[in-house]
Amino acid sequence: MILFWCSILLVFLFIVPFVPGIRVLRNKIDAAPLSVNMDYCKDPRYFALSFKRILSDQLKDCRITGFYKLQLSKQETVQIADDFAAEEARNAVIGHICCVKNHFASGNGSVFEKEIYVRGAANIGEKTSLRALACDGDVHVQRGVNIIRWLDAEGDITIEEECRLGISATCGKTLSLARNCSFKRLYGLPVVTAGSPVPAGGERGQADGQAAEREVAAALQRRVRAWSCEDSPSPEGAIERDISRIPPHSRKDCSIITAHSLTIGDDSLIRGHVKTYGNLSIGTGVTVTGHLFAEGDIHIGRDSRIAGIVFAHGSIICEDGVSVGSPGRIRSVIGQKGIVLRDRTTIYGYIMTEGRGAVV
Amino acid sequence: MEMAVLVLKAYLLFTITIMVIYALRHYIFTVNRLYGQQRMYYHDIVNSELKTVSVLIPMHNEEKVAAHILEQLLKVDYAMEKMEIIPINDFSGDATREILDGYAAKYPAVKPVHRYTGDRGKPAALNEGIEKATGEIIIVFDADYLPPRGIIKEIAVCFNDPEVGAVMGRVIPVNTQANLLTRLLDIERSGGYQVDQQARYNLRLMPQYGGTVGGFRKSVVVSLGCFDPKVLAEDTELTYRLSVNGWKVLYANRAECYEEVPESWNVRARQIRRWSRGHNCVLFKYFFPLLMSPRLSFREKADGLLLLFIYCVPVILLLGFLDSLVLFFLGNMEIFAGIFFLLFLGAYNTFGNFAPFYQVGTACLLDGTPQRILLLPFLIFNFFFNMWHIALGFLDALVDIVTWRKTKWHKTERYRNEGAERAL
Repeated sequence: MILFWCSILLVFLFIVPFVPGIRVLRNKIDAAPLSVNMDYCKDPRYFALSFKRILSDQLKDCRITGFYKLQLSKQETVQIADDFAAEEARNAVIGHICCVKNHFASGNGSVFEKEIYVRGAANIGEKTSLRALACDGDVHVQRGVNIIRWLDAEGDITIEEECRLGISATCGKTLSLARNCSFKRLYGLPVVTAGSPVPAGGERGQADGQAAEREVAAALQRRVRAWSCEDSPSPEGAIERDISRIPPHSRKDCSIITAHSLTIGDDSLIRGHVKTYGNLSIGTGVTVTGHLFAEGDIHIGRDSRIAGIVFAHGSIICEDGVSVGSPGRIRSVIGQKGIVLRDRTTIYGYIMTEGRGAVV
Repeated sequence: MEMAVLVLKAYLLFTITIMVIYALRHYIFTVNRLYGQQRMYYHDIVNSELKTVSVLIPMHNEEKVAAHILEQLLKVDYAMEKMEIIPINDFSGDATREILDGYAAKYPAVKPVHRYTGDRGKPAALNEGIEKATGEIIIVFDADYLPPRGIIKEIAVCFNDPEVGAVMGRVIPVNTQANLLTRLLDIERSGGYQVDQQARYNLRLMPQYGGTVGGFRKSVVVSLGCFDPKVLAEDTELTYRLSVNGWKVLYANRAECYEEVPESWNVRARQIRRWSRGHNCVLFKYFFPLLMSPRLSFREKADGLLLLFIYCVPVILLLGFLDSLVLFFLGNMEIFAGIFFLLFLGAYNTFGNFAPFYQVGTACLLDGTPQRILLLPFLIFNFFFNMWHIALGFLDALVDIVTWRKTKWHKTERYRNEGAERAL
């Protein structure tokens, strides 16, 4: 009898661990394949493009100004206006989505709790807080503005001092940043900081900008003595390994990979890529025609020019006058732990950090 | 007799030590994924200068799936003037040839290669594809895969790093709902990619190129002599060949792609036996080159060795079980005292219960499917099943090495059910 009950107990103890699993199998719980977004494509301006697409689909039949209840990701109130003037919104709290057919002026100190879509130009007043703004024209962001999520413009974006730029600030033309702004992701053609030779705004500004872009490209061409991306050394070509210091005024016609840290002396020219497993310190007036990769931090010295991508698992500091990429050649500056940009920085393309990005 | 008992006891202790080492390895990976610093991959890089890419798809009797993968690849977000699609018809006897020719007539980017002479099998097919390819980067998909729109860019972008030789993306089973086996393979894949591969990337060890949903630099692979048609695990071989020559293999967790997993135990048995046979051939070939390579750090060598021996471990364990049975009937199991008892307990909890189990559990958590954790006890069946067929694969590899016999490629059966249709 004891043997019988022991056998029953044994079978029971053997089966028990499987019981919850049997329930999961029978009821097909979590049985669907893991979700893969088959249409996902990397786009730095994804937030705004997606928002505008969803809103445009819903606004097809809403041609008259006024308030509408629309089903977006959830039921939302959307205000359609011809213009949105400062007087309407000074120190106000706006709790609905705004869609403005012409121009938008937020007034100072207002709070916009929902997204804004402007088809003309937008002017964001001092100390305004807004969730997200998509604009088909230019955007001017005054001092002390706080953006919670994202900001995007088809034209230029000019940002004054002490603004917080949320998750992303992107535009189709020049993104100009004053000092003491913080960011996570930026995209502009180019992104410039105070004193950069590529100003934004207006016809005059655009003409100046194009001239400055030409000047940047010409300077890069002079520096590398007729180098172009197409004839850069292939990465599996010559590689110099495990050097820790390149003296000033050196010229290297190869890629460099080091197991530790590397310092590149002032006024050097590197025709290749650089990868370090430690920190990478680049002196003043250095030109690198390839990409920079570092497991640690990257410090790019004053007036240095990098033609390729800058990617660090640590932080990136760009001193005064640094330029990355060139007109027509979009590049990325990605620092996992943080990015610091100083004056006269010009970056053609995308800037991103998981830590804190700051213009100082 | 005493000597024989001593040898048996020594072997048991050896088995226990191996188990504990692998348990620690799995534990470190799991802790890294849960609490460690996650290393950024290159998918956030935006670069206007795209590299030229050739997508190779080896196909042997793939009429069920050929059109699906071509349709998906024709939709990808990559400049078509920078990309070519080369499906390699490898001795197909069904309608694969006609399907490929139909696409080639409609789309100039599709450039099929038809092979009916020479060696059959994936490595030989890839070699011929590489010969025809004009891209700087070669990206490989198996024919049953369903690539999403952004995947080519996500894989190609990391070759901006001058040291990267190959990249591996993440494989996600699409036919999970078919039966118990597909559900178990699904959670095993989760553990293998979401935790194991990603942790090895985080810790700068040696992630493995898996032969599909991945790519490599054409010029490097050509300079290293392309694929060895005699090796069934051409992916593992490439991982080691690149690594010992100073090239890095990266893992891209975000580059996700659907695949079909075997729906019958017979098909799975053949698949895992082939993997074991190929992987163990790579072990015999790269054991010393790995140890001697001046290009690898100590920890890369250590991880590389553990990975190299991974298909030996079930064999060691199987012999260990038999060893313990013999010792038991000889009445010599008194070695389980003190520290050895703890070691044995650790080993048991590792391979008998928890080993890849806590990796799999963590992966389910990270993937947002916590209910799948309740399926973990069922993995015990997979464990014994794998142990047996991996041991058979190990014997195959031994015979391969000793006799230099020619290997024969066995294709994994395709199913294409409603799960895949839904994903499309």
